[in-house]
Amino acid sequence: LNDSKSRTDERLPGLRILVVDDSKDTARMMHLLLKLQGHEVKLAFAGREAIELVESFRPDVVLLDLRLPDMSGADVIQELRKRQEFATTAFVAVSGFDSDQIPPIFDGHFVKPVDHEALNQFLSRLASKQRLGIAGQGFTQPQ
Amino acid sequence: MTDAVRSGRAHLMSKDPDVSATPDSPRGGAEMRVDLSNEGFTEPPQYWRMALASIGDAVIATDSAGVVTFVNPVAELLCGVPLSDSAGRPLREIFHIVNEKTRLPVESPVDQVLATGLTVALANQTVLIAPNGRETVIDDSAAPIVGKDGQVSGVVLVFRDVSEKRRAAEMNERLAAIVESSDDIIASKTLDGILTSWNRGAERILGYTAAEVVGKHVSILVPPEHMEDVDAILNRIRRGEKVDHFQTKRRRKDGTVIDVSLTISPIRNEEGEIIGASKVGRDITAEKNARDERDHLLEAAQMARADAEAANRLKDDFLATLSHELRTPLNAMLGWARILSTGPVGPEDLQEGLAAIDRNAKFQAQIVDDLLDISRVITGNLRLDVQRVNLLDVIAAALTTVMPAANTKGVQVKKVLDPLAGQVSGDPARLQQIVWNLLANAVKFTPKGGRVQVLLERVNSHIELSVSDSGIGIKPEFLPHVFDRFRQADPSTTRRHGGLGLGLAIVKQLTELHGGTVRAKSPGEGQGSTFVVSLPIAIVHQDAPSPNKVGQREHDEFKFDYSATPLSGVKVLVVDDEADARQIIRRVLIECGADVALAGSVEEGMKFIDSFRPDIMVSDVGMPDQDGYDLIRRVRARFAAKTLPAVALTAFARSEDRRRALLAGFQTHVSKPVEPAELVAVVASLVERTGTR
Repeated sequence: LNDSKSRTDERLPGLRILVVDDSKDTARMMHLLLKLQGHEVKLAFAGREAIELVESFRPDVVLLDLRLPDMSGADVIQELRKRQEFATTAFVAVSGFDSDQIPPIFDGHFVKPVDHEALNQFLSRLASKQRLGIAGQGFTQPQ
Repeated sequence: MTDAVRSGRAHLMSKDPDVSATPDSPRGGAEMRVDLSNEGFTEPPQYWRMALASIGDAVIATDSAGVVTFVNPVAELLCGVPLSDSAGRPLREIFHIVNEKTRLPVESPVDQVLATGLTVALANQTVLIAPNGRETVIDDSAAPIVGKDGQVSGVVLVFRDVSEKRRAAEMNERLAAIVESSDDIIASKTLDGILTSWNRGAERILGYTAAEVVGKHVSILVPPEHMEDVDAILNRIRRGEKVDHFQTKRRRKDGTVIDVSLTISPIRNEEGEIIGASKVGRDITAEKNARDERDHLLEAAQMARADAEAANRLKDDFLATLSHELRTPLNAMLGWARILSTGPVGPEDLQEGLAAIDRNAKFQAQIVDDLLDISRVITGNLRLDVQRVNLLDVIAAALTTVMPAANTKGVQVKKVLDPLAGQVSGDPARLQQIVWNLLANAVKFTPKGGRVQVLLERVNSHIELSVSDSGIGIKPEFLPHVFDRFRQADPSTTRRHGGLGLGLAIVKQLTELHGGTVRAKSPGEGQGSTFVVSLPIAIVHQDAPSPNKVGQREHDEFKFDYSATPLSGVKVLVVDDEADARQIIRRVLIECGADVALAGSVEEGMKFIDSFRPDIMVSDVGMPDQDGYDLIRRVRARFAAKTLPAVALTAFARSEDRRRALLAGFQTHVSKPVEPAELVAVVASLVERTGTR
């Protein structure tokens, strides 16, 4: 964790972002776009795969769809939140549903089609907070 | 009471102190004849005076001329004439009596006694009228006073005020009349439950007469399951409680059970001791039925409301799903467009981006198409472009679309197709949509490494297309709803599978538009599913291209020259168990000028042979119950081939079938699907040849 923090500190606004979406077109697109913004991005196409990747990748933020082929996005969060080391990880829904249909376990929500300006602003704010070490708990709704 | 009575004063005015009487009661008149020779009457007159003064009845004595000689205080009071005025006056002056009903003067009983020498007791219809007009209903009697010589020396008149008694009796009568005339059950029972009274209402409602139930235990009226209530009620009555409007059931004499509302109260004797129970009951069967009916309607209304709410929820779920399904490809397209417009990208990314935009745009177009299809089906605006179609081509096209997804996912797709089973009438694009939807669904709901199989076979007069998978299966409770539009087994936002929930609804509607059926089977969750589409076999070859129309696509149902009428006036009986097949043949034949009768069974066909008298018969061979062979055997038993030639129409195109048909009595055999031209030619030639016209 300290490792990743020191690295993001050096290379602003780079965050470690995990994108979880079973639509490969969506996932690949997000990967490219976020990479262009200077973030470090990894992709997962299913819930189990995401959980495994979080272990090794230790992302600052997980952008995930509500529906995944093997489990729901909320189930992924629930499993990870049980563990102390992921307490400060931000889990943000990116889905085609309206915000009132997003389970409260998500830290925030971007409705598809994603407003990339808003997403960038949100990630910058997150990066700043990250530097101050206040991300995660007390996280505010991006939209 | 007057002071006279209270003080015990008596005024005996008898001139003969020895003469007296012992009127013990007015009613005891017959026993009142006094024999003063009796040894017992030795008491002095003073004794009698005191006795007469203190009794409760009015006593007046007269002499043999009817002149008052004695009046006791009660008589004084009732007559309203002071004692001082009474003595020595004729009785009729102080004792005015009239008949209660007629108001006519009644002959004085004293006069009667004097006239007859006999004791007189009057009926209690006499009213005594005092000088001041006060009236008193009295019972009276008069007895002769017989002297020692045996002569009547006077009369003793005894009477009493019966007004109170009369009022009580009247009240009782009135109450009894109320009880009798009541429509309600009014009955009573002892604390042991023995019935003691039973009114006409009870007779009417429960069917038993009073004679049948009084003295019996109330249990004869109670259905066994309500016996405990009876004991409970009697216990409450014993405690002095009243039971109000208790709703229960009672059994009528005829055995029918009715709903009653009972109010049961304790009956007390004069000492206040509870000796029984009265019950007033009402038949509330109609009321209760009305209430039940109302409850039922209410329940139905609530259910309808729940249904409407469920439909509303379904709509909300659908809209949420729809927005999700539209936004997802939109997101991919806009994102890639953004990447491509940000600046130069590598050739691989460019390639990938363009492909992604293309894929997602098509995916979204598919959603829009599905929505429009469902909308057309709902509004009845979906039109089929019906042609002769080979399902093998349709399946091949659908597989081409689905295979990439199946390959990517690692789902194996296997085909088992009967090459001879492919011919149907239909809209090729719509049939392809049916097959594609089923295949796409199968791939979507089958996990990596699973299998999908598409099977095409002929089953009787239908072609069956089955798509089976080894996927997630269908819960039994959802099975009846799989073809409902907008309905998804898991409508939640967290479910694993996307989609609008329209695919199977579209499959069902399109299949039915083709005259077919579709059904779903699944042993349960996780055990795979099978969808079976059954389509009627094509009965005639359509779209048979004529040389001058090659390359020209026309949408006429049949490419047949209907202008000629080679069968003009020929009477053709068509026997086929399938309505569609009959109609198509009928249309072909009628267009050629034939007169056609249609029969759906062998029996019906036989009837038409007598009533319609056809020139020629065209019969299907494969029919349920009796088949075409049975029919031709029965026909040939009565008609020679020359009189009534017959064409066998069958899907069995093998040579042994042909031989069998001919052996059974058919003149020729035409295989399905039938070419209109061939059918017409065969019918025309048979009629010509046999000369039945």
